[in-house]
Amino acid sequence: MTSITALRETYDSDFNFSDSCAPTSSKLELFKLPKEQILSRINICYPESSNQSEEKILDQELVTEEKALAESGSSSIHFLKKFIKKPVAFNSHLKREGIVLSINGDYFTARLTDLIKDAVDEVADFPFDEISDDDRALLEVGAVFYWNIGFRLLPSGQKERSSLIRFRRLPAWHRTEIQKAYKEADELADFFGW
Amino acid sequence: MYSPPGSDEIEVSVWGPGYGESVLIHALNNEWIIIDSCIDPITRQPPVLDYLEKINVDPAEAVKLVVATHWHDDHIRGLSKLFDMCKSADFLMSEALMTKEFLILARSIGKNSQIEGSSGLEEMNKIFSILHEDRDKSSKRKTKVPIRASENKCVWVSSTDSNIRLTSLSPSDYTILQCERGLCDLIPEIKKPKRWMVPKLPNENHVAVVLWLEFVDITLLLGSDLEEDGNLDKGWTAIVNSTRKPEGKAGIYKISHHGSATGDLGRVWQEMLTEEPYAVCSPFNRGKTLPSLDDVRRICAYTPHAFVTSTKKMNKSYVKKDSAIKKSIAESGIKFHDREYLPGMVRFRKKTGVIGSECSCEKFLGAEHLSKFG
Repeated sequence: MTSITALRETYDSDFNFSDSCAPTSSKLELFKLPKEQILSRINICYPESSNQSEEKILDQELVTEEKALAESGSSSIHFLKKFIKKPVAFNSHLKREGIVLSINGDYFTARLTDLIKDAVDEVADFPFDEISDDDRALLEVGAVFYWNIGFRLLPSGQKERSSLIRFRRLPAWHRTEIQKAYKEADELADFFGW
Repeated sequence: MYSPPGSDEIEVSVWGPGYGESVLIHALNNEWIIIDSCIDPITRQPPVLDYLEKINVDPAEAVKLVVATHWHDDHIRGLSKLFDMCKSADFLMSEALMTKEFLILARSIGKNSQIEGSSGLEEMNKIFSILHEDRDKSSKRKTKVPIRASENKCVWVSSTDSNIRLTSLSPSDYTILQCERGLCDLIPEIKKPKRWMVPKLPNENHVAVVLWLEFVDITLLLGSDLEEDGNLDKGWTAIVNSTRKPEGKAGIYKISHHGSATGDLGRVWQEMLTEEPYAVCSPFNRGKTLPSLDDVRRICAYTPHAFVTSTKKMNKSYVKKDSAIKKSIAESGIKFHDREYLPGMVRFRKKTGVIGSECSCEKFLGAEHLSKFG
């Protein structure tokens, strides 16, 4: 799990950001602080073997500020919150959980489960244009995403119809999970005589 | 619809699609076999269970064999629930999947599935768990481990009549070897992101189990999803060319792979089926619809007795969206597929031991003659 992934998950769970106000790619880049610094403050565990080479300090000014905050004992979360837009209200009329079944040319096909009411599953084709650049890398068969259609209440008071797709950041397989699967498979193989 | 067959009456009920397809067979004397599973998209239950209950058949006692022909979720959704209910049933699966690699997949991806029914591996993993948990119990199952299905292997014999025999005709030895290599590539690796489905293996339908069920006066050929690509060592060509397959011709055919051209080989109709056999397929409606109109024409040219399990789609009210949502969807370019077909059933019944007894064919819940499809 990279620091970016960890941070995004923290944003989503702690601050309940809607997609409309989620940090943009450029903002996230700003938060690419040394992983140990950030994660130690927000208490997120990640596999020992995560690839740290991806971490780059892109904005020296922010790093300096973060260091100052860290030295003064302030939380990274408070530091990070300063850079996040005030959430706008989003009223969902349709909430679906999707799983990507296939990727074809310039669209992907997904099975959709209704998260609002107990309804039948449906299948739909989504053009790639509907996915943000950040999420494009997460598109693969089996990927899970959330699709919301509703109205955003803009700061001006106007309502804006919006369709938002956000791919779920799936955690990486951890060594212990894989080891457990192998152990259980061994037990079954012994039992089945395979 | 809900009248039970006599103990001397063969029944073959082909269900689908809902999500999937399923074949229920009465192999005489209250011994039943279930091949694959589908679930009703509205009730989310296997319609086969409801049917058995309504004809007063206790699945825990009467079902003797449950078969997973392959691991695609359009054949296996709800199968673990069925198998759990069928306490006396043995479990038959493709030998191509009986590897350590497949167990690792089941215990990793199948076990970690977070969207119910999203993966055939989830169902297979549950079935493996049921068998494993039953190991120390006084189970009524004759065998506590899966039975291997491979080419030309007798996999089940009726306890009341040894002439009633079920033989698997696939997967071929070549397919079994190929599959083992392919499964290795799907095993999750440390640090790689999780996913809740695995990509399909190339030619994955070749692992499907084709079955040949012989009664004294009629034989069934159950084609699963086996496809054909001209390779002598796998698919339908390998079956038709085999000199070790059972003799005779089948009078009832569960058409392979939803009637698609890739699941069809003319020689099967010429060499393994009687003239103008009963044939039935279940449609498929995910991305593309099968059978296509060309498929319908081709199959109807083989036999006038061709049927499809369902022509009835789900009522629009189940997928109704208000106009604002429709507008957003239209603006975004997202295209919903056609509504799912509701599960229907084509049922064949034939009395045995009665000279001149005809096979009856009945259509229920939107099943029709194949020419009316599309």
